Amino acid sequence: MSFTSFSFIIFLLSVLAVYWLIKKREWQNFILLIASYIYYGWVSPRLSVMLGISTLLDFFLARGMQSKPTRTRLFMAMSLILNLGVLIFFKYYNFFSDDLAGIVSRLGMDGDPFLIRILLPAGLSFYTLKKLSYMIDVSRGTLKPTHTLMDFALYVSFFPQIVAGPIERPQKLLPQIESQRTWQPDYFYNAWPLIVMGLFKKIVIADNIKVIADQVFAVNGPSIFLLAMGALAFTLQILADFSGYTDMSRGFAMLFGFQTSENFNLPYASLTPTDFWNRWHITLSTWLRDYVFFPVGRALKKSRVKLPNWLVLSIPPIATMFVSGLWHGAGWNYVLWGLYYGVLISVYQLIGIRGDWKPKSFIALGLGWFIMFFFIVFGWAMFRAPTLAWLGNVLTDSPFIRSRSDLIVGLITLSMVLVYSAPLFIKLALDKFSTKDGWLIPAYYALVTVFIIIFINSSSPDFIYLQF
Amino acid sequence: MRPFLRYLLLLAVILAITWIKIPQRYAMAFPRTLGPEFNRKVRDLYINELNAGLAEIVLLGDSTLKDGVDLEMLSMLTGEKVLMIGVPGSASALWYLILKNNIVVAEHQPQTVVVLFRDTILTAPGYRVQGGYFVQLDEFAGKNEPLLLERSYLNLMNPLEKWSEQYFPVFGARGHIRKEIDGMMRYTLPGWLKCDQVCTDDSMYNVFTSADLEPGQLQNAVATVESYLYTSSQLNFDRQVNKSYLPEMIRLTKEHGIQLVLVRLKQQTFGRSNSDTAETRRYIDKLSEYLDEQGVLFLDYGNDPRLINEGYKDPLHLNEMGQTIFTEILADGLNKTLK
Repeated sequence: MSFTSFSFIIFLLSVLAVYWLIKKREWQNFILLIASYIYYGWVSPRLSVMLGISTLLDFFLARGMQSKPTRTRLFMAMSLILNLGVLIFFKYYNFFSDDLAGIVSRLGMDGDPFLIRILLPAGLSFYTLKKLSYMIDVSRGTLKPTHTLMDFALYVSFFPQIVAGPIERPQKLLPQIESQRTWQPDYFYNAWPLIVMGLFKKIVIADNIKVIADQVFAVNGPSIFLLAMGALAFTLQILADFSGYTDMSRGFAMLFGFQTSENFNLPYASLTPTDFWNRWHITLSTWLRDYVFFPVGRALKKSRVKLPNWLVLSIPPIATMFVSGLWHGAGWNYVLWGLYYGVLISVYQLIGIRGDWKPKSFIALGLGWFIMFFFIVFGWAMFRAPTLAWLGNVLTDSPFIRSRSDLIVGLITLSMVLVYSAPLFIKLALDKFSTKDGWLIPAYYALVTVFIIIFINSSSPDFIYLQF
Repeated sequence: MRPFLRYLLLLAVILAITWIKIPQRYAMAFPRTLGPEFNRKVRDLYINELNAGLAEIVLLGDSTLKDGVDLEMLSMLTGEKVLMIGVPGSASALWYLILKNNIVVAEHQPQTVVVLFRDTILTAPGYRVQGGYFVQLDEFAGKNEPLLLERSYLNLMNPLEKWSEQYFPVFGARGHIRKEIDGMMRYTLPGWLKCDQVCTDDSMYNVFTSADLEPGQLQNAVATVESYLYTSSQLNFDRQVNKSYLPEMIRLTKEHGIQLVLVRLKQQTFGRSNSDTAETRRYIDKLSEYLDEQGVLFLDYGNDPRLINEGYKDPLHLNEMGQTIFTEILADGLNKTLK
């Protein structure tokens, strides 16, 4: 059930009505939990069963860590095997074999290939990280496990977040689940701009720019100019798609009285790769920083083997971004994309440009931004390319421009990128320069709403991040 | 609260303006009739071909039929004159229209109509009916096509969509508005390079349509589009059959004394193994039962081991080798069932 579908509107309004009619927190949580499982199991109830079983196991393993602290390592290992095992099995099996459908079919799950390839991984990567952060924090003693199964289950399955994040940490969401919530008009007044903007980014920008980006990346051996324009289109598409989804998710959570995390902070304004990852998919970046980057860094510092300083500086970002690449998808281009950022971060660090680098000179600032933006767009080309061989062939064999047709199509792509990105620039300018109490921002939202109505489709393509 | 009230007020003003301007600009009257409008003219291409060629067997299907059957070879093997109507990008809505507005109204009517289909396509009336596919449908649709309107359009709209389409100009005219915006984006920059609309459209065709497509991407694109046919609702035969054109196609052929034969094709979509999923199997069993009750012949080659992977040029279409194999299989099947 997509956030932009009619069935979701009905679903959301019904859940909201029942939720706020009930005053008791436990019952509100119960309603949300049921709604979350219905939402997640909408296409196949088996997905909800799998979620329920893994949630139950983690809940008791965390309780076990508290009641039997001497066995914490064992319980943590079991949780890691459970969570990563399921993730690897469903998400990465195709990486090594192309017959997952057959295997699952033999497990009695009908093996619908569509379900396995597209839908089963939906949300799995996100809720696995949520559960893992809970388990790791409990095992480290930095988080007390909750004693209420329902609260934990709701933390894992909270429907505005289950399919594509944000990857909320237990320290932020669990206390909200555990506290009393009564309806306040501010919930709505804070939620509507997020929902409108989210719908606009998804329906108007992402779904439309996707068409041309998909076409460019489907051509066998496009020219370098066309590839560059296609990569620019994808750069816009993935931002609008993912940040639009996050906006909607945050807006819906807010309607239920929950404050959830921001995931984007002008990522394409970054000056360095570290800066980019501090602004792009922030909840994933902080997850990776806390559970991969820091532990690897600490392990290297404690290591008896003396490594050269450049290696000590380079290994943690490369390892972290390698994990990030793998998390994004089962394919060599995702792995390479992750390693690419790992190497970029290391190189920037080694040449003395830290994450918070901000030169005073306007020229250096502009140049720094341009170089980083080039790296970002090239990274997305790698990410979106059908195969690495395809990208390699284009970069080595294709001419810059193949023909006049090629130039024209490149220009059309550029024109679409400019038109569809313009509203985002206007929004940026309004947020920066107009007063919050004025008429300009409401006028912007009113216009944006009209465009949503114009561009809404009954069959909206799926959200890109669903496949992660 | 204030920003929200201002937003509502401004939205109301903009919508009020569109209420006046849109009907004027696009010459549309509101409330408008639901669904697309078809032009009066019906293309009689196959009526003429039937009358001229006197074919006794008509094959109806999409591009998979065109690539899958060698017409001469089939005619030779069956000993009958065969007419092939393989329209790329077609599906059940167009097959129904061709049957209704061309085949059964021809002076010379064939003895047999063979419809070649994939899995649930026959009971998916909303498949391939929008955008460019609509143009194709419009060619074979008359001015008044209530069944087409109901099954391929109105049944697929939710109540909110129906209401908005009828009474809400911004929504009702969204096709026109989007076309204008698209035209502006598509033609402005090339126009600066003295490339007019024809030149721009040709460029798009040269780069995207006639160019080689990356095989993996093509397979993904096919899988994405075809996944509509494998949703739980489309796989529910009992739910879909009476919403589809199948009962009407059966009625039309019976009424005109034509034997209807349905042939299920094998495909390689999703790189899956040679067997159906449990849901697809259930669907096909129900379809088979239904066709049996209706006296329609059904040839199921969906899992035929003779159609090997090497016989396919992409997930759906057969190559030359596959075409030869399949034509023999089909001829054999038709000879056995029809004689």
